[in-house]
Amino acid sequence: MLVTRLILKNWRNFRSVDVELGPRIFVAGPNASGKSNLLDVFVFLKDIAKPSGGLQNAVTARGGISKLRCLAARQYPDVEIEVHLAEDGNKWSYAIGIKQATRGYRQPYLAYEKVTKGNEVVLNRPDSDDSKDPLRLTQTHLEQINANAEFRELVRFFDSVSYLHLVPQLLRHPEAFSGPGVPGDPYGRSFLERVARTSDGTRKARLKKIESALRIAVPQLKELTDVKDDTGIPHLEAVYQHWRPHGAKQREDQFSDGTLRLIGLLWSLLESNSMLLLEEPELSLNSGIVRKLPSLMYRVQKQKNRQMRQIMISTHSSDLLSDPGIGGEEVLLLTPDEDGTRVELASSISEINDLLQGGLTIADAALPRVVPRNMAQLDLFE
Amino acid sequence: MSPAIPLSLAFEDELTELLALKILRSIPNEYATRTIYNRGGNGYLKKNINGFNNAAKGVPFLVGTDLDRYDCPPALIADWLTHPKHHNLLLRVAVHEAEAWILADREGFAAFLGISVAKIPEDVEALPGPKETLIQLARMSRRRQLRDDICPPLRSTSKVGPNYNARLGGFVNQSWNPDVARLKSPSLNRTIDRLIAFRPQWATSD
Repeated sequence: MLVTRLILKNWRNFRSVDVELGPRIFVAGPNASGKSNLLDVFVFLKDIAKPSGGLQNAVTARGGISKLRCLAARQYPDVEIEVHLAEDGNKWSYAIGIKQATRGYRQPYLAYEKVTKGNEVVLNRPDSDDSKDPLRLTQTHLEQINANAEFRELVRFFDSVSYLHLVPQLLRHPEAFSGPGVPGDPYGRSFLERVARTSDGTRKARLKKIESALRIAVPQLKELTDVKDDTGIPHLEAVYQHWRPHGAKQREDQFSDGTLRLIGLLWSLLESNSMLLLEEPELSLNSGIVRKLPSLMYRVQKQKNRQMRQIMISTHSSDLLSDPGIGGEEVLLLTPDEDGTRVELASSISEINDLLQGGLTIADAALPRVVPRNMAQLDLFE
Repeated sequence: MSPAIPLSLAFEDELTELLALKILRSIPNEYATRTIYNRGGNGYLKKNINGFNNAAKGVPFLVGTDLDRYDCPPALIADWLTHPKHHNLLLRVAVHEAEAWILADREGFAAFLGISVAKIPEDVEALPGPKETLIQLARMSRRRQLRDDICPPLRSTSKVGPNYNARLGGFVNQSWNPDVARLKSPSLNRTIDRLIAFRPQWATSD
């Protein structure tokens, strides 16, 4: 399933957003413009839809409605999310509005919840049951198995969205960070376990694919496999070519930060076929490799009979965006102003289109707009 | 009063950008700065100039560059542009580096360094290397912090000091006076005249 359009009102940094989305989206903006908060919309929907999730949990985990609501929100205080999706010609939409109770526990409750499939309205709340029992509005039907049968596909889709912000130190030393993990494991602490749990055939096929993709980035790395040590803890292993004829075997704790991140990233691309949210994949990678990352990711995913994962990537990297294969319709530009952050498709700005037509890369044409403006005044802090 | 003219800017270095912004603030024409394209590094403008030329039909562009190895501006334009130059593309070619424009405000710069005006060359555009001259002048300054910021440490391979752009940028923002500087720099004078006289042309059809 593909998210084709996203509409937001008063969500975090964004007072009002309405953008069309394609299979690959790059999100660019200055620091604190809300890149992660934009990705978080989909994690929020996942948090509602997942087993043990729900509206109350999802809102509480984010610090309550007052933290969710855009600071620039004024007369109209509801937080609203509307997502349009498509799969094999079927069109879906899911929309919720969330309010906060003005008294008592100040619980969040639904202003509305709507689902459409094609032209048909599948769900439209509040309905008569809700008006008899207003407490029902503290839960969505998305989280209720006995109420969401007609749009189970949507529930499954939201539940399978994954969010990734790999931290090499966590990948390498998962034992050093005890305590309960973060739900969904976005930082990769249990990445190795996940690799080990995958069935043999699949795992071998994936690692082989990753190894061949990695050849460009880390040419001295060969024969990427996984092994278990004597205590049963899984490890990645690869042969590093050097002056000795057979090279040397190395485990993940000897891999470089960049190699580890790349492996994690490429693995996650192959892991499922639902939406993948990636934070700054360029971190700790050489700029030459970052430049190749978009095409590398494309190649790893490209397979016969397989739908590509929809990927949403937040980035600061002009190297990443200088790939000439990236179109203006794939780039969301975030510009903060007093009324919250504006979100625009780069291709919706005529100046950018003219520049692209004149042969500029998206990095040269669009990124100057999201450079923090007062850089020139950095001398003033003396 | 006519409405402000939208203008996007493209440069290769930070100092030229600051100079241009200061000039735009100092002239009576009203310009509304749209986007500043500045990635730094040689070849950035040459690589992208045709894109800027194409976009100039929608928003006028001011592009500032050095003459580099070209003898005269028309030769540079002929070599860089694949399409005829759009009226709205203002390609300003400073004969030498931006530092010449800074030095051209002799009184202002002398006061900034705390040295005598007489030490600053009269004909700044004839200098073979204005940047080197500027750094030599800064070495004469009695203000230690300023010397440390602008001049490269002894035996360093760097051409400029560790806080060169920010320190000179501060001077440009606060004290540099384009109206004084233009009297000593013909290329700056032409640039200001051009910006005052400029009226954009908009496509009439579609």
